[in-house]
Amino acid sequence: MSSLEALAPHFEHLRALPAAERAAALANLPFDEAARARLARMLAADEDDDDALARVIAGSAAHASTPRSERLGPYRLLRELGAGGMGTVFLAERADGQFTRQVAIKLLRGFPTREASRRLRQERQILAGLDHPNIARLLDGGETADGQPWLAIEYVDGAPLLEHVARHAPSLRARLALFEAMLDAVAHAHRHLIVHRDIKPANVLVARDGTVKLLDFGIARLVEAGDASERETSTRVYSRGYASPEQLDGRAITTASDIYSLGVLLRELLTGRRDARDPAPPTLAPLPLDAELAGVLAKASAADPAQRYAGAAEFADDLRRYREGRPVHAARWTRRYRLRKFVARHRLAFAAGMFAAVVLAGFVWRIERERSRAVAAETAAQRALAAAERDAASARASLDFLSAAFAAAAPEHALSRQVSVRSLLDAARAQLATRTDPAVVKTMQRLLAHLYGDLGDVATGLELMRAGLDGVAPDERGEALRLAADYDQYASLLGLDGDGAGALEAAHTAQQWRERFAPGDPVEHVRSLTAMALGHHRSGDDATAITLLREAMTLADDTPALPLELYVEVAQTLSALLATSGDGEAAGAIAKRGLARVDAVRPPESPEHVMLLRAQANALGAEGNPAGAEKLLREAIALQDRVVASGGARMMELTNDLALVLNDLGRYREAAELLLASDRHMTGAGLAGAVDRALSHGNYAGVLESAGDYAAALEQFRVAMRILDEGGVSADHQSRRRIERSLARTLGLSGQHERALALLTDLRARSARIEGEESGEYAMLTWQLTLLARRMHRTDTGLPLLAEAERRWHALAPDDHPIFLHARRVRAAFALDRGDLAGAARELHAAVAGFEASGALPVDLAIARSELAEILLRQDRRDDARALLRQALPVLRASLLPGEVSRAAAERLAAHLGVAA
Amino acid sequence: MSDIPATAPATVDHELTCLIAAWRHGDTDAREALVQRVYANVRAIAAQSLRQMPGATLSATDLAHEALIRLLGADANWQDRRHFFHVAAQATRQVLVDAARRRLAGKRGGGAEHVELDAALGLADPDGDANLVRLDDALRDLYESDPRRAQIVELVYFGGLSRSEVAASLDVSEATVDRDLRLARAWLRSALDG
Repeated sequence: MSSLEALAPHFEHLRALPAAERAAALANLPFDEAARARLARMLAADEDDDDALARVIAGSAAHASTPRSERLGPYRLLRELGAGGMGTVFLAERADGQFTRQVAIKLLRGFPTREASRRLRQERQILAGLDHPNIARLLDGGETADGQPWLAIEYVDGAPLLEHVARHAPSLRARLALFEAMLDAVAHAHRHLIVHRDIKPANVLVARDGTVKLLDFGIARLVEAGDASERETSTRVYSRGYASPEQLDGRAITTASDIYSLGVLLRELLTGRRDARDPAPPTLAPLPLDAELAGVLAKASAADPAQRYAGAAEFADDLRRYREGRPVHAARWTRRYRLRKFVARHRLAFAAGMFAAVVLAGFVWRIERERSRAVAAETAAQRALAAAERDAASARASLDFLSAAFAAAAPEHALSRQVSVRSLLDAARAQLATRTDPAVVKTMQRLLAHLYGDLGDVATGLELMRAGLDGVAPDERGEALRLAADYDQYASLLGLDGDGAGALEAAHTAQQWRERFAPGDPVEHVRSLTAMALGHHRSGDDATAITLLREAMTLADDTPALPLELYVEVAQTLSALLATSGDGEAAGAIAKRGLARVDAVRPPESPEHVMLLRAQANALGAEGNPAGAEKLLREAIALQDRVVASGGARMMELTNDLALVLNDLGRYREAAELLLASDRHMTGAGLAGAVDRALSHGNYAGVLESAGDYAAALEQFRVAMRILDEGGVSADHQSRRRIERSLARTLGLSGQHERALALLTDLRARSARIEGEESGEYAMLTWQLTLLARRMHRTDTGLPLLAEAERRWHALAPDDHPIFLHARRVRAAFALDRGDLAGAARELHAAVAGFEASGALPVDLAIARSELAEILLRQDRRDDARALLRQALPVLRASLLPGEVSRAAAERLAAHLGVAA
Repeated sequence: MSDIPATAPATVDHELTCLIAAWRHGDTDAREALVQRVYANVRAIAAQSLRQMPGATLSATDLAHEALIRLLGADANWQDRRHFFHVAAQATRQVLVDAARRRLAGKRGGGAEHVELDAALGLADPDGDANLVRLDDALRDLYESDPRRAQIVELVYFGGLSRSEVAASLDVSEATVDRDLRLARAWLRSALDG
């Protein structure tokens, strides 16, 4: 028999021939009869569409037999309905004759461990709570004698979604109505924090009466619960064509993953294709998609979860608006974030210039249309407000939509030339130059200013905003409020540009418009106060910012109608500023009150709850309770990770906070690891502000210093200072001064005493001028000068400094604060310098006893003990010294790097005394 | 929604991972050891499924995937998965063929009554087992003369891999996979028909 290799080229050749010519060509081949017959059979087999191999394997693998009246719990299995990746489904009825209702029984595949079974039962309880007309109900569940889990589910007698659509070819309206019922079901489940995880047409049935029913809600999760794996990111159960990118990559699955699958399903429902680029013929008679619907689909199934609809309700809302012929909108509160994400993404494959110009023209026309609509409406005073607000929303939504539509259009229209987001914006700006209607031009300029600002091009954003605001004065309320929001943005841009005075002036203008057109409106007044406060904070004046925010907070507390996100912004900002200024108690009270207000209306996993939890944690940190802060931050991180996608700006902030708290707790290695993670979140979130980046490096340096790696810490400080210099951050800026203060401390520790002394002296003079000598900042700087004097063995300058530091701390901190125990350590060092062994021993004994009694940080206690050991050695009490050192060394070695001064001193002492560990 | 911190799946078989690594570095004995292990597991899964899920339909692809999940965990990396699927496809094939051979032996022996009942219910495919055994013979012959094409068939039909996965796994183009698959399929089918 000939080998396949010998026949292969002829097979390819003959396949390509028209059927009529094959016989002749075959006959001419130089093979024996058997080989020619084999080739003929191969060609015949190739023509046959039936996959005989698959059939043979499946026939042998499928051990089909009747269920043999198998009983599961109170149910009798009637027949098999189907089998899928998750198990087999049977039609069943109650065997005890109590009810005649038929149910579907699903036997899940997989063989769970005891622990997995427990979790599975737990999950089943949660799923049984889902009660919605468009969700097939989970009725019952249990396990077979062998431990195989099963579920009893409401039996739906109907057709799968696509089959239904193929058979009845419903209209666009009817298809959207079906889909909206599904969205309603998904929204219900998401409210119960249940993610479907496997939304696909096969999991949607249309019952005989036309009701849509979603099947298998959370079953994918159940199957995973039955698996021994405990991770949120299982790739185990999903359907390839519908699964979101995060699901395919094995990243965290959230409610946004369902939104993605719903977007793909809607596209298939309307066009018969899951992907616009799919060249295969559609599976259904396709309906034409207009640009708006294409935008909705693009937004729903965006690759980046943050760009999708925030929830099923928002998705449904946009479809409803579409059906009713109203402009579809994107929720205003996510606008800037999403735009920023959009432009920060990789260079998109935009359409070539021609196409871009067409869309832009349409975009400008659209704004013009919205504009004239608004002008017409303004004649009716009664309707002016609503119209203007809609106008503002839709003008901005068009910009949003432009983005989404481009992303959607890109793959199909991408020609050889690729246009970046930046060049698209530049084209829009050029387009503007050809327009003459000043109202349209200025509106566009202000919109583009927002975009350029988001792109990080502050200069162009400022230029456009300045032009867009120039000479514009509102003459009715809606326009004035919109303009005030633009002025707020202008203030923010100026602040970023380092023009603090200009920022305040812009915020002031916004306030004036609000006061003139919305006098006595508490919500608008809160907005003004917040913008002014941020302006002061940006220019480094936190005291005034706090005063303004306190006023805003009082007003907000008395205004139940205040939008929750505004309330949270005020509470969070005020709490953070108070905590930074050292008033942890007041900061904590505000965060606590805010949480009560948020929790009354939102579930505990809401972003607002997480933000205020963070505020509360930072307040505890400021109060000197890092353990409490750690607990709250871990809670916040878990919530954030669970409901919202992990990563991003907020995760960066939370990780950063936790790292600082762990640093305070003396767990330096953990802190350093977290900071590295935080840095990755920051890069991922596209944050690039000079102060933010410098603080991140400064924090990292601080942890390195705590762990004793001074060289690496100084290198990080050098980077931070360079970023601040390049960003033009002024010498009086609070963040800069905080970083410099840390730098001075590290310089002192690393032996560069003179440089440290110069820097600290200068910083203390600046603080006396800016905050005053009564401030915490001044006390901290005095303390650091004291420590430096100790390190330089300068008893003459050190003792007066120590006295002043203690006096200032007593005015600021309670008497049992650990700082006073540290003051004893310093006094002991000065005593030693003067040869007063007894005095040094007295102070250190008191410090050790104090640390022991107060449950202080283990590392603080260990350092004090090792210092006392040194004194005991000098007093020739070697055994006592050894005993103390044996207690101290393990803690020092676990927390500090070998180069850290305290550990290095202790190690020298240990070597001298012959203490191993 | 677990409050337990994320850990590696308890199902991960570290010995298996080591065997895969050894195989990847050219150790052919490691591959044999792998096949033996996976074979035992695939057979256990099939047996357990049939005992616990009367009426269940278990496809070759399900078996391979189930074995993967149980032995490597759902989060196994692509390299491990890729090597694993080669082994799992082979093991699944062996399990199915061995079962078919046993059933054929049973039919020739005392199981005639049961076979007839199944046939009457239209549930059994009396030729299916014989055909699978013949297919296995033909595939074994093909492995002798043309290992790559035989492997492609095995990965697609017994491992449940898509064409693009096969292409990535064997480091050839998708076009090559398509061409080879079409050719090998025609070859094997002509062997069954002949």
